[in-house]
Amino acid sequence: MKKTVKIHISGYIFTIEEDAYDKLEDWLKKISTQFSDEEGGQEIIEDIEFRVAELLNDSAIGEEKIITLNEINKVITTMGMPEDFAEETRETTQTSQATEQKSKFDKKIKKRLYRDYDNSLLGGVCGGLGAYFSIDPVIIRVLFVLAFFFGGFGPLVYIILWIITPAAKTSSQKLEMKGERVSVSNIERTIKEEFENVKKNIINQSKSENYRHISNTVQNILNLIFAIIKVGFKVLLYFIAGVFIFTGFVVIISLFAFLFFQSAPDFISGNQNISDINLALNIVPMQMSSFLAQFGLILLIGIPFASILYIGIKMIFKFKTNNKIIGLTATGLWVVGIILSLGTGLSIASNYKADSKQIKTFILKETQSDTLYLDIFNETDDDYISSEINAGNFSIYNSKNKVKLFGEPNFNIKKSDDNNIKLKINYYSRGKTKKQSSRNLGNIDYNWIQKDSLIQFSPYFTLKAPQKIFGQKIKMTLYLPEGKTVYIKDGMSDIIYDIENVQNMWDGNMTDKFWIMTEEGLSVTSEENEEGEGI
Amino acid sequence: MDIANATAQMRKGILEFCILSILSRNDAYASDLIKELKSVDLIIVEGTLYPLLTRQKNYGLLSYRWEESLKGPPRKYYRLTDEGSMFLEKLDLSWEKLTESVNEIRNASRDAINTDDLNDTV
Repeated sequence: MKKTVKIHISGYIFTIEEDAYDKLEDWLKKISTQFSDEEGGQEIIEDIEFRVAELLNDSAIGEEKIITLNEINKVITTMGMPEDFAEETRETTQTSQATEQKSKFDKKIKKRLYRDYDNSLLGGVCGGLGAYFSIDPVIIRVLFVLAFFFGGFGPLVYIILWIITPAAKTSSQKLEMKGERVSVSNIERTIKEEFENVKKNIINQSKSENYRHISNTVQNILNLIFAIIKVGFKVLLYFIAGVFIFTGFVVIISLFAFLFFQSAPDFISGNQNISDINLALNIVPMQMSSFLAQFGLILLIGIPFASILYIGIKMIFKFKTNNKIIGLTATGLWVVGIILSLGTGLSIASNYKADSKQIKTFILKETQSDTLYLDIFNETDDDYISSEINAGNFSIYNSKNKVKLFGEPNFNIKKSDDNNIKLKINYYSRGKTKKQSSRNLGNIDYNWIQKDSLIQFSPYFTLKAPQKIFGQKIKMTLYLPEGKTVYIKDGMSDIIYDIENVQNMWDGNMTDKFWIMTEEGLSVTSEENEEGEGI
Repeated sequence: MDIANATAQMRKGILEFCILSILSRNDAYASDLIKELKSVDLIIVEGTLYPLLTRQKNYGLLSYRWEESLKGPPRKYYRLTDEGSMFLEKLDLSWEKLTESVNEIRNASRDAINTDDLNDTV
């Protein structure tokens, strides 16, 4: 099996095998190198191509004849290699010029800065700079992109260079750009790099001279429009690529910083200075290892952003890679990430299937005065004070050696249906099974105390055994008979929750006031009421 | 100066002369010229012809016109210009003079070699 190419030479269309095409193209390139610099050179090249087309047409009998390497070799033998007829056809004056030039070219060529269109993404500035300093243009491009993000002078420098530097168009300019000697073999090598140009020429030269003139103008305009669209597209592409790289880079760096640098000691040395994510995984009940859960999370978030970063880099630097393998690997890893994260989620969710509730009601002792004073404990756990992380109704204390959870209880006041002052405490908890949930209930540790007319509440409840969140909650209700007064001290503001009152006062404003239970409900006592309204 | 280069230079002048001579008979297109020149072994590779034709045209010795062809796209038919005819006449004259002189010298040289040979054998 062989690949064929359709080509167009001097008005003839041929189907040609690829190796034959390469050979023909190589030969035509040599011909154009030979004649392109002399007066009427283009015409000579056209005539030669015309003859080639004729010869091929003679050998191609029938419509769908495919031209093979053999036929191309025959044609080349008939036409001769450029060096075969170079001496016979060169003008005598030129021969002396050529020898003169030869001695000149023996000196080292001075390097000049050009724009390298053959190696360009935008205007060829980076390619040209790379050639000038003999560095890989990719490095220069990286510097330009970095300059774009830090300070933004990159594009400005680029545009200025684009305007002031000429593009290397001729073979000798291209050699000057690279600082190579202009010798025949060097030129030949440069010519080989002009693959696209020659291909275009083969097609263009097929048109007769007359109408080529007109079509040239039209073509020039079209080319210009094309070039503008192309540059616009490339700028857009560059921009998108830049955004991709930036986003991908930032997310991945933060992800790694977040997960690895903070939590690495956790699974390497066992030192428990753990990160927020690790902490979250630590206080949530699950059957999976926290390492696997984290690994899944890294993959789930990291892979898409790594892909974005990769695509962005590829858009700019156009290097060749095995996309299939990379794509499959990335997809595979991402699926692993999804599975692990799903597993984590399910494993967590399964621990919340059952729920339990326990109600304890206490009848408070008779007090001497009619007023009850509500306050919180003054002595609280140091850990509670230093805990800063919040998750739902829990505060989490996290230090090198331990994690401790502090739950926030809710406190409400309602009218009692008899003459007793009652305190009702509702405990709630969830668990994998009913049994487990009631066991979790038992783990809840909450304290309050009555000292005659002073009732003190703990501002938090703690968990006895495992420091795991099972949705534990405490709701307290103080049932106050009509005519009784309470004074809510300032410390209570942490736990009072949505207490209905006649004045419709917001919880935060209810402290440091006397409240009386009336027939309509809890109400601010008269003198405080006036003051309250005056505010 | 190597032999290949020397014959190439010689053939170049002669080729230009022959192209003009063929075109003086009737107009022709490149392939006709190639056929005739090949039949007398004046050109070995066809590529030689095209640069010569273009240069002669640029000097004003030839002109060409496009003519439709049954087999493909239009072909370039070359014809001799008036200037070309005059140039050819001059070339004809100098060719005759040249061949005469060359032959004379070559004959003389050959005779000299022959006598040398005779002298050696004697």
